[in-house]
Amino acid sequence: MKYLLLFFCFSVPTSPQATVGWDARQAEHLLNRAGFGARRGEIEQAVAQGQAALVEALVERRADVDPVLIQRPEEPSRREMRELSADERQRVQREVREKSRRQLIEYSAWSMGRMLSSEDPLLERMTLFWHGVFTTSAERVERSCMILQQDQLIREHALGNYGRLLEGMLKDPALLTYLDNQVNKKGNPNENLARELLELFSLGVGNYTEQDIKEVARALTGRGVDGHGLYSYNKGAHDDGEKSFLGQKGKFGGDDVARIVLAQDACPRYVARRILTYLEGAEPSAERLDEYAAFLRAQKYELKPFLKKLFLDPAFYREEILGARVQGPIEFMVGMSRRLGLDTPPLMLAAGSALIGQRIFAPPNVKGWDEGEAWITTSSMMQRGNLAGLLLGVVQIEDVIRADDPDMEASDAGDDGSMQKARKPLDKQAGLKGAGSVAYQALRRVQDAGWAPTLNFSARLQRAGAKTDAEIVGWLLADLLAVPAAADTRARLESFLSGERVVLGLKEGRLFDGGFDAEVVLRRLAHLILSLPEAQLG
Amino acid sequence: MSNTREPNPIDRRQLLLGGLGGLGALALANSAQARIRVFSQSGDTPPAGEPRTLVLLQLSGGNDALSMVVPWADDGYNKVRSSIRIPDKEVLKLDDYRGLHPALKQLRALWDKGRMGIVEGCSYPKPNRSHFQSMEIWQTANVQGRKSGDGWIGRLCDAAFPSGAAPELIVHIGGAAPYSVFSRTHPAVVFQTPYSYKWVAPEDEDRELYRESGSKDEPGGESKGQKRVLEHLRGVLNDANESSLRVRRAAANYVPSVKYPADEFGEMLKVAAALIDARVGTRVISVELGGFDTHNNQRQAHDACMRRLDAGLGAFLNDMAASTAGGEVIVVCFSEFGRRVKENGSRGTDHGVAAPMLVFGSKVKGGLYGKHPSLTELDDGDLRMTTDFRSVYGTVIEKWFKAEQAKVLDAKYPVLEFV
Repeated sequence: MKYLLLFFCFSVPTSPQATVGWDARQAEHLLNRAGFGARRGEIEQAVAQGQAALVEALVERRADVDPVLIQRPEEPSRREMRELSADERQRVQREVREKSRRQLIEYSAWSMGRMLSSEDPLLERMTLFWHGVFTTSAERVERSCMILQQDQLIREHALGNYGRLLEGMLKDPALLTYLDNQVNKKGNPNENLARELLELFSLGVGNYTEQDIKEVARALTGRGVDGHGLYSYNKGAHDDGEKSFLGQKGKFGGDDVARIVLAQDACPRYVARRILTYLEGAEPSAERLDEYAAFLRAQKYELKPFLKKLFLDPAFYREEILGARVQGPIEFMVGMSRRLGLDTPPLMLAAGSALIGQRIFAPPNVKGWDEGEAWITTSSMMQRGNLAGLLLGVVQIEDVIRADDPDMEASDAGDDGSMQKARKPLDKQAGLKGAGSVAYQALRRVQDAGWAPTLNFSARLQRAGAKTDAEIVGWLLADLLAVPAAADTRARLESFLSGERVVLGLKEGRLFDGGFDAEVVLRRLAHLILSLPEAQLG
Repeated sequence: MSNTREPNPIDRRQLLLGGLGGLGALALANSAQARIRVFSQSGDTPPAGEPRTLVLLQLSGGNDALSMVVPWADDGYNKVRSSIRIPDKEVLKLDDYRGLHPALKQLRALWDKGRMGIVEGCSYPKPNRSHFQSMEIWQTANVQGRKSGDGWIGRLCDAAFPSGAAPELIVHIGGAAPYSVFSRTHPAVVFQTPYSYKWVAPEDEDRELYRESGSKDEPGGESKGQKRVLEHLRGVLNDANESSLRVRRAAANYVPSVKYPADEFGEMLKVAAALIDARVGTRVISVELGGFDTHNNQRQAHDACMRRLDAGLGAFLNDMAASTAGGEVIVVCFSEFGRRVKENGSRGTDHGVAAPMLVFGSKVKGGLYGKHPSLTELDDGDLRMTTDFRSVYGTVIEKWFKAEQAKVLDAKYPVLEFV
């Protein structure tokens, strides 16, 4: 604690004036990386506030949010189950599953809502980050109460201490279930948790041997989950013999595993690398990693000083990383909604993110989500644009999923006239298989429930005093994108706007006389902007 | 015919490489008119003869191949798999030693027709038991993993299709693309379902402008880092624009000769068949089937994987056998590792080493290749490698695509006789 204070005195300037070169670009960068989708007003405020005060607020100020109450399934005891008929038993099990599923949906919505309203953006950002490190998939952990409990554990330590987080995770019912530790027993070890602990949660490849994995697995035997989805230790299943791993020997148990792992030089290095790579969007250089690993170690894995150091480090604002990071799907959906100032329903955020590759609480495998350019494929690029269109109300979900789209038939006839008409697919629902189908259905439900964006670009632009085509395009680009657009893009958008304005029969500067038609044009313009390659960066 | 007559759009890679000065200069012009001229200049020219296609099927999670190609007559198998062994009376016997998992009925029929090859004991020296490390080694054919550069399919396509290829040269059907298809010169087209593979907008003008936002003339970006990413993203957008209609059309027009299973894997393979049939210029198709990480209650999970594999792959291969284009398809099936010989304490198996690779196709010479590893002489409880998996890659590179191994792999590996 003392160290913390000392550090604070040395490195934090006392007044905004002391911040050298703190401008809107840097403030936007920090707000985007430490939170989601910085808005114009927030950036202006952050510049006025000064770097030091902003960093202090981001890292230290917590919103007053009550944790969600966890519902644990009331499953009948085994004896009660035996007394039921087969049909009744199935019905009871179905009900339990359904309740569990509902709870997960509600909680996913709550989480997405937290990111969107972002009273505590850094906590939300780091919670999402740790879910990509200590991965657990709700696909494989059936009881949602365990997923909720894990999220609460992550929230408790996301900005606290990595060591405590690691210790908590080694007793976390969801993780123990996901990595099969409930069946890791004396005499019959299961290596799944031990391997992923060393490889992906703490040390990284090359810093342990296959033998270490086997021995760590033995030390973790006995850690399991009870019928209520709570941690339970089965003494009888624990292998209390001597183990030897990572250079130590003893009758080790799970707590010793955490202690020994945390004492490895590779551990702070691995953790520092993961955080730096995530927040900067690029692998750190060897020197930079050395510095941050040593710092994390000296801080005994305290994360707040680590993040403060990073956010105050001029290298965090270096040219190569400013706006050069591809936003992940959740970040894209939440950030876009924030920049538009939309009250997007949380379930729409969750479904949209899932559609472009990131389902909250369900990373694809134990390695978590591949960040960066891997997010963008030919189809996710287009889907991102479609999601922007949905949020803006210029695209309907049916247009996206229709198998017999008019676009295709028109071009079939148009090319040379001789082409036979496209046959309709045998199974029209074919496009609705798999993970995507759930997401589409969720999006459709939101649409059917009557949600529509409450946007009034005309009023906003008028307030901002943007009149000419160039001013309007410039204002929208600055508002909706995290990075500046290329000159050619800007020119094309301006010519698009002037063309559409002429169609409406309006002179330049008179767009706001165009009423609803003008608003539609502005939304189409916003749709084009949010579909740009530039819109993927943040 | 379902062969599309859509004009062949300019290829951004040609522009990048500067190979076609005239086209490049035209594309640099900033007006839509110039763009239209470029687009109508060249007609679609399908390559002569039936070109060959590789379908790379990745079984993710570490397939317990001992439960797929079962050494039913080996005591070494029966002794250490007391709770998860597949009883020999259920095994679909191939010979007096091995047989297929009982769910693989269609694949068994393909074996009988001589269209299925089993390459025994595949792995690599100093095996890695991490899913991700090992998968990267398989995907790059290099122990360095992705540090060594592009995926092996990317390098293969550089060697076999130097320039002017369609953006759909490499296609991954599914979510995130596996690293195998990572390529700087031939980025893969990736989509989950063809029907939603499009950018939707209310007006034609919007679509026109969207097409242009992938233009390369002024990639923009304030910094070097941003310029690099933007250039890449514009390339992806271009490829998406070029391929979206062709892919959707191929899928919509396709009438398969067999019924595909209605699950996701079956749908993906049906789309693969559609692309092959439509001859859009796709030479490599990547598909993934997951769910093989069976540490716990393996029989239930693995049996389901086998049923899915047989239903989807069986339908695809039978469909392919019925068409001309399909005759030139080879399927190569791999997983990041096999699993430990001895079952663990929870009716599952932990990460292991060697496992057979499967190859299928009308041009495949069915049968056994390589040597089955011993089930008793083990390394640390795991099967020893008898075939370097790069021999299979090398065979595909050299014999299927007529390219030089040296341009793709770090050494020349023995070529096998399965094609």
